[in-house]
Amino acid sequence: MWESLIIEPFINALLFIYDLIGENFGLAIILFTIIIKLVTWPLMSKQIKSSKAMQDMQSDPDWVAIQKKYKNDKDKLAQEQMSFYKEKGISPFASCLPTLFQFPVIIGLYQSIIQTMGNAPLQMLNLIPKISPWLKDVFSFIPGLQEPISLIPLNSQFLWMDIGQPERIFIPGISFGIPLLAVIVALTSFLQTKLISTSSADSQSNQMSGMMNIYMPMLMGWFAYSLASGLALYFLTSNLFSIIQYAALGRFDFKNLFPKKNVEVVKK
Amino acid sequence: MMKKKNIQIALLITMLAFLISGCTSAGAASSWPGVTIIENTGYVSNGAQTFAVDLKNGSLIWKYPAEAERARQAFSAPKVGEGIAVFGDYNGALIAVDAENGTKQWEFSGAKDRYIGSIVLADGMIYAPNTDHYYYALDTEGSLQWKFKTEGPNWTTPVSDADGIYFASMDHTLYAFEHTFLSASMDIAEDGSKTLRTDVKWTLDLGMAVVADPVLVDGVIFVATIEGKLYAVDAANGSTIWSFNNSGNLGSVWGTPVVGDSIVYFADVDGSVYTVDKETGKQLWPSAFSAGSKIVGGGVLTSDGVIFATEDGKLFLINSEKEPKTISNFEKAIFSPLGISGENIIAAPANEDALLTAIDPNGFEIWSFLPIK
Repeated sequence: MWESLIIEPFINALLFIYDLIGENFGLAIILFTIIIKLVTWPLMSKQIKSSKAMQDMQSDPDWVAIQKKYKNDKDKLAQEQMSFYKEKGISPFASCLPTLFQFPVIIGLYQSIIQTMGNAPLQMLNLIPKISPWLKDVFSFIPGLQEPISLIPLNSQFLWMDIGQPERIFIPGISFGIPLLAVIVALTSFLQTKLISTSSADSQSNQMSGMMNIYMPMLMGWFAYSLASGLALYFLTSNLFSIIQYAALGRFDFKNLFPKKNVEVVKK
Repeated sequence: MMKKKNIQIALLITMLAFLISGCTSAGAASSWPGVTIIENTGYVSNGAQTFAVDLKNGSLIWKYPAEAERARQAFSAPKVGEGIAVFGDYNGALIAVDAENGTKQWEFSGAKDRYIGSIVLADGMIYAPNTDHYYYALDTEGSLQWKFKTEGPNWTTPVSDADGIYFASMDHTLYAFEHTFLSASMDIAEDGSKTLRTDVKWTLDLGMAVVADPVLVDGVIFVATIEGKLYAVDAANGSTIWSFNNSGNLGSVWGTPVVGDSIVYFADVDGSVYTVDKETGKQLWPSAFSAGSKIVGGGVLTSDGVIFATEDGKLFLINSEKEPKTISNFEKAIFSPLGISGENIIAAPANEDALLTAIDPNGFEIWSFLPIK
């Protein structure tokens, strides 16, 4: 069911874009990632707004007073919390439900890219039955569209990289390849987490998000370094799109890049 | 308390790393064993090592390398001739070992990508297809003589006869070359490597990629595509004698067609077995035989018919009258082509219990070979 509902349509859509733009798989990955991100934009916006409301609630004097009042009665605190949500019109699930909807789409996108890049016999054997002519039939009015299966093997060259292999750029005079894309992925991951993170009154939360700001970019950089460059392109496009999306929603703060130490918060 | 939190975050991220890594093909098997049977010896490449096995009793003759190298991935079937066994790996290394004892003779590392298809030894030359879009022609000492660039990766084993050498590429084209070339037809690079210009004997556009090894019989090349079309091509001039696609209902073909005296047997990944007339390409059975499971490897010809293996592990014989007979059930996918040694059928189910297994014509196991890890 997962395969037929998510993976197969995604693979065929990727191949359709690939055919449409002149057999450039790198560009097809970028465009498909942008399309998926645009489709999930309303969900993401809702999630961003909801999480903002939840964050604002943490500094609401009424809520702080409730927390103080019922700090030794967890049941009562939970009841008051629900009343507070109702009063302020906050839906606690509004920030996680969109994520739940988006998650299968993002995982499906990721898996379909991996499967379409298949460059070994077992991968190809699994890919071919998933290729369907339906998109060509639906868009038969577009001239020059090919039978999707005739697109195999995909042209894996994009700029200086082979989409199916980890990316390295070779510069004359340097004997080893430089993982430029991995560095850019790590940097954009860092920018993304830094620009959208907000400081909390809770020092523990601040420290945790500080840790995530370091670990996540390193992790994404490592993936981009070691996995096929097609996936690194997906990570990069996804990061850049998220930064733009947060900026468009006014949820990004350049001051986060060079934060001043909040002594008061630390003392608390 | 904070230290504990940090450890938790680090653990969480590490788990995420494993999860994402698990979604990729890294570390997963990417192909199936490549097997060549020559009389009483079986040569098989399966990932980290290549083995020569005595097919009389399933004992190991040699293995290369002596110790398994985790980074090595080799699945192209070794080919043997002039005293050497030659096989390529996924790191772009083409290796020749002494066919008798497995001692390394030479290594050619001029290719940039994977060897998926096997080499062919013909007329004192080795022709090696690589996924870096080149075919490499080497002498039997491992020296590059020339290379030829195609428009796509090359997965299939070339075929040859006295008149030439024939390559079926993933770029949808079947290429034919003479065995010898004038130096005038070469571009010679600064490093001395020679690239053959496109003055091929002939080419034929097959319209689709080819992943099944073609077969050359009596001057006719039988080659099938992934779209599901079988061609009979005149090796002399590249003209299509006939083609068969079962009115567009033929599935993707991965196994080499089996050519009998007058019948061509072949199967597709939908699990259908077809017979066509060798001369005319006309379908012989009113409908295909359905094996009920994917057929990937090519069949093997016996005096009673052709034996095929399926993804669900069944081995069956089918004769020209479309009478099937189940021989055995390994209950494990068999994607590698089958072989015959004496009266025994050799299969490579590539499971955790055996790499090669010999069964008699009634399906009784004679021996199985499992390399020591």
